[in-house]
Amino acid sequence: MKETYILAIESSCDETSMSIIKDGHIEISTVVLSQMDIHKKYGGVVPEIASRNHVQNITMVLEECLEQAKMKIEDIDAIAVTYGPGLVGSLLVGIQCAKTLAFLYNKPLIPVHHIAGHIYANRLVGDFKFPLLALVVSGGHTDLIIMEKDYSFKYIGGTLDDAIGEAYDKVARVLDLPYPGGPRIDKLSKEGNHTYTLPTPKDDNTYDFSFSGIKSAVINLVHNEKQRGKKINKADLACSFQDTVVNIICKKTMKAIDKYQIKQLIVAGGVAANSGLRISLEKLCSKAKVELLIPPIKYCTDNAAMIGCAAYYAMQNGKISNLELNAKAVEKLN
Amino acid sequence: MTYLFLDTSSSTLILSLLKDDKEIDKIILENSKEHSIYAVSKLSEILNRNKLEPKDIDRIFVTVGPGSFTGIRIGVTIAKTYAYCLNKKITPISSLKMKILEYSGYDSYVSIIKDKRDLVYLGIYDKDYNTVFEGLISNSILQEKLNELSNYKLVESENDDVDRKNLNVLKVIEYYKNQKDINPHEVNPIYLKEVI
Repeated sequence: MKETYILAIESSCDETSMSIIKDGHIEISTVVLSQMDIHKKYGGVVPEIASRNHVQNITMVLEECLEQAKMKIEDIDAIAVTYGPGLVGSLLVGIQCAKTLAFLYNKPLIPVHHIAGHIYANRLVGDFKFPLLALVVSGGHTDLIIMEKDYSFKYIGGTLDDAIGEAYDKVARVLDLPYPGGPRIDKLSKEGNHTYTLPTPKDDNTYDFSFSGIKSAVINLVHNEKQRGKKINKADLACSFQDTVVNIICKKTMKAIDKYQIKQLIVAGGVAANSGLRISLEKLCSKAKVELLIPPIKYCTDNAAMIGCAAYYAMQNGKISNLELNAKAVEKLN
Repeated sequence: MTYLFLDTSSSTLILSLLKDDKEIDKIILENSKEHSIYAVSKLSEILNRNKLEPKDIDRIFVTVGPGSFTGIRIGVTIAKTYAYCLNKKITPISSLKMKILEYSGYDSYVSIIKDKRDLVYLGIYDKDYNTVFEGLISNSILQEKLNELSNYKLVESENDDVDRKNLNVLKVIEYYKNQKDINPHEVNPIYLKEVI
């Protein structure tokens, strides 16, 4: 069978990334230009700065990606791009570049949903076994999605307010940890014990999550202790927070695995890098005899390799766009 | 020589094809908030209906600002990707200067794009259209700057520039074809305004 090469572009937030993927799972080359250091001093991503940097970098990232692969665009079979969800000003730079390439070289244009990309990051490390459950945990998402076949997504629950990564960042800020706070809390929690009592968020029969309550509880606790002149044990508080949120995520995930007779659990998104979550899921999946797939950390954060994998299956399912593709800030995965 | 002119620096999308110093076709989408949707498909349309392949364009001219219209980065991204991939010459055009190029016979030319607050993008050019000043200044300084000039032509427009459709593209290209082309990687919008 003929090999299929896809050039994928991802610019939904603060990473300008391009990748060439063969047959939906073999990485030929990937370039990720992170703007992390630029946004660090503002304590978060500034959309206008992110967009400006994408415009500045886009052709250089393309050049580097092609050079690494030792390929020309003529050798590519399709152009893929993240069309949403994300920051519109950022998304549209990748989209304009992708549309221009599709037009110049007369190649099919494949729009990819950012979360489908995170899920398909796992194809870089293993095969999918259906029905599978995808747990998507990131700065913008905490979703549980069932897949019965390739590129078919059934949403069964998700966060009703803050995403898990957002809660981590806000808790990190109140503990005066530098941006991005998630990995810092994860690291700090290993040095502490679960000594603070925090409310268990949305411990019910649904597959939905809520993290604004526990986030506020941590913020209030820190402020109250400060007013009383007491010192916060940051490591213990980090541990208590991480323990509580990891427990509820694991509980609902395992419940869904049982109910839907899931063969494989896939973890995706930036928070998949969280060691507390990884260790708990490893234990639970091994006990439940469910295969667990977690991508290496470099594929957990935003990258175009995952978009190139997802695009292969999107294309097989007929998802090809014309040149009027537009960015979508908010978009459900289905 | 076949030239492509692309302008997404106002709410009017302009695509123009020029051949041997004549404008052979033009697409204007007025009052469009949707450059993001239509820019590439209209580019495809204008080349197709003139039986041109992307490689047939010899040089690309794209407006790069200054200005605060966010659509500007759409044209710039398309143009730099095009020029980089097919190894075409690319020349950035000032959205202030291009508005005065259809006038002649004055000692100086002044182009103003009003910004939302008390700010204006100001361009001052000499009799040969060389740039004397381009910048973002407050309204109060504007009058001082104008008082220093005599026998000048003033062209004024709003941020979304509703009259952009009347732009004399031929005059713009006549001037800019003698200006330098630059490396596509270095074609970027001129914002003048800091984000924070």
